[in-house]
Amino acid sequence: MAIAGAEAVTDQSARAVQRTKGLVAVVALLLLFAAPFVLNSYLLFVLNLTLVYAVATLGFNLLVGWSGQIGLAHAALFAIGAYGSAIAMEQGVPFLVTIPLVGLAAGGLAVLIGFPAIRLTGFFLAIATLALGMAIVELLKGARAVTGGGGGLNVEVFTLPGINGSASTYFITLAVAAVAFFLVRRSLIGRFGRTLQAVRHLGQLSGSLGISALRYRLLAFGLSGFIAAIAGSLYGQLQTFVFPAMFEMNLLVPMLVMVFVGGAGSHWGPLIGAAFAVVLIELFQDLGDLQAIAYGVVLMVAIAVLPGGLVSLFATFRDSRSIGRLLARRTGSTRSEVSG
Amino acid sequence: MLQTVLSGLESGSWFALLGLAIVVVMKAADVPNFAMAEIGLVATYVGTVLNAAGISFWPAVVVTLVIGTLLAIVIDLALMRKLAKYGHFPLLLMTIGLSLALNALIGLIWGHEPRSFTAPWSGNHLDLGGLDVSWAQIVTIAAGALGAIGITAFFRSPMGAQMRAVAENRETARLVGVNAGRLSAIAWGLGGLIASMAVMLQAQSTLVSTHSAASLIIYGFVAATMGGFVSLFGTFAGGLALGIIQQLVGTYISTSAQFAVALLAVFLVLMLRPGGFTKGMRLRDV
Repeated sequence: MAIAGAEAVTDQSARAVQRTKGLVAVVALLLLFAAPFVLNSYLLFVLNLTLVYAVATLGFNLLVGWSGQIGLAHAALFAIGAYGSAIAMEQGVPFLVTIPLVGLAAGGLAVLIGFPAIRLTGFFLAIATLALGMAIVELLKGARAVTGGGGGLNVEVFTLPGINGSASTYFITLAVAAVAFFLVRRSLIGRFGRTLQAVRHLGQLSGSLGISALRYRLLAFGLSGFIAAIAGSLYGQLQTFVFPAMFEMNLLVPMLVMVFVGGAGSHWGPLIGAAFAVVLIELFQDLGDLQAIAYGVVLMVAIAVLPGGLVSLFATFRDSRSIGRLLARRTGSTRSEVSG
Repeated sequence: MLQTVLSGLESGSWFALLGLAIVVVMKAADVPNFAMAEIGLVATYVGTVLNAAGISFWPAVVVTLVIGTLLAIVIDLALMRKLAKYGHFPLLLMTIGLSLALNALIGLIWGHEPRSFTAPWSGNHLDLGGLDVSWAQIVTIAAGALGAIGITAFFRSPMGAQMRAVAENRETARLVGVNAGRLSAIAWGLGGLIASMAVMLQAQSTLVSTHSAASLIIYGFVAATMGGFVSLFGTFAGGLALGIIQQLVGTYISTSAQFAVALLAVFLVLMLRPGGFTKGMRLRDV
């Protein structure tokens, strides 16, 4: 009897937790939706940039945090999205159509980039993918006829009818980010995420479970490239002008900061990491070299002090039971009942 | 053609030395070090400042090498040691963060304008039967070869043997009484010394800046990749070959293709011979 009662209560509070989480998500989305009507144009830009980076980091985290492969071509794939979308629009393709197009193109390219993963692991893979990523950026510099070379390329800005430019860009970014986070979270919670982790920990041994390690490794590369390019196309819309130097180490290192400060292999780490990195950029933007120093130092501190990233702070807080107690009170039960 | 090969050997010596610095740390401490060029650059900048302040050339060189060595040891003790238990990735990221921070710090203190380290022989040339050889080139190539021989000799000494044992199997080496921590500090110090030598050699021949460090480290990694991150000989030969290929590409194709060719070289080596191109040609003990 007592045990059955306890189960009912835990079931009840688990549902309460689910409800609270859903409520928080809806409120957060509503607040984000209201942002263009409340914030000035500078803050809206910062928020928009945060969301763009959060989507990019979502893909990077999938590759680095979940499948455990150090692929360092992510900034270049992001560039493919920004350039690809702008160039396709010049050819008359509507912006909203270019989003999935660049995603598919970069996803395919990312699978090719991931092919060294057949033979290489660890930092050998890191160096091979870094080299390929740099080669892509070099190619963007070299193909002057199409990309404008080092001088850069103007991006035609798409606006939803009846909404002003920056608000429209923001709404599109918000919609894409919400869908991307929802879908990636759904798939990582389920079978796909668990398989990725199995492959990560077992390597080739996962073959004995009937899982093709290679297929999942390449799938992780492809998906991360797909998401990176989508974020890149949004980035192009936000910046309205792109040039190759935007996508070199000065972007790759902040992306690593976002993954690791947020928390590699977590669900909300990309969002928190992106917010952190963008705030850092904006705080230090007039300081030039100090900004780079701050980035380097923050990356080092984050790795040394918080191997689990900022997300692990929230987890510590959650596991400290203070929230559990609050929820227990709300569902009308007390701790003694639960333990009884 | 010969002239091009000669300048290739010169720049190849910088790449080879930096590659050796990376491999030495890799061997003993198991860290892929992206901050090596910046460590060398910090030391070299201190040297140029001393030189400009009127301190004569050789004392400035000695101070530069000492600073490079000490800086690397401090980095190992203060930053790397605690992270070793988390594996490769945090260490790799730590060196990336460090290279970014050091690079910016150099820019903050000394600015981003290119500088050179003027040697007593700077600007002097020799004419060898139509071949125009600068003393800077002779010094660089000779110092590169000497550095490589020195490191090879070091790895054959008892301490070098211990280092190889640690690289092979850290736990077993420690069980038989090898002090792995001390060896890692020594390897970092040695790496810092060689890296400052590489950057200083570059600075006495041409200009160095915060931007040149960023490309130097890539070339160093290309050289190290060619040696499979293990072989000292493979790394040295790979660095020289890279320098020559790069100069030939610059002369006969285009200077803007140089970087792309170096990247292509890394990729091909990693795909075709992940163990480095000298693997299989078993040179004893190297």
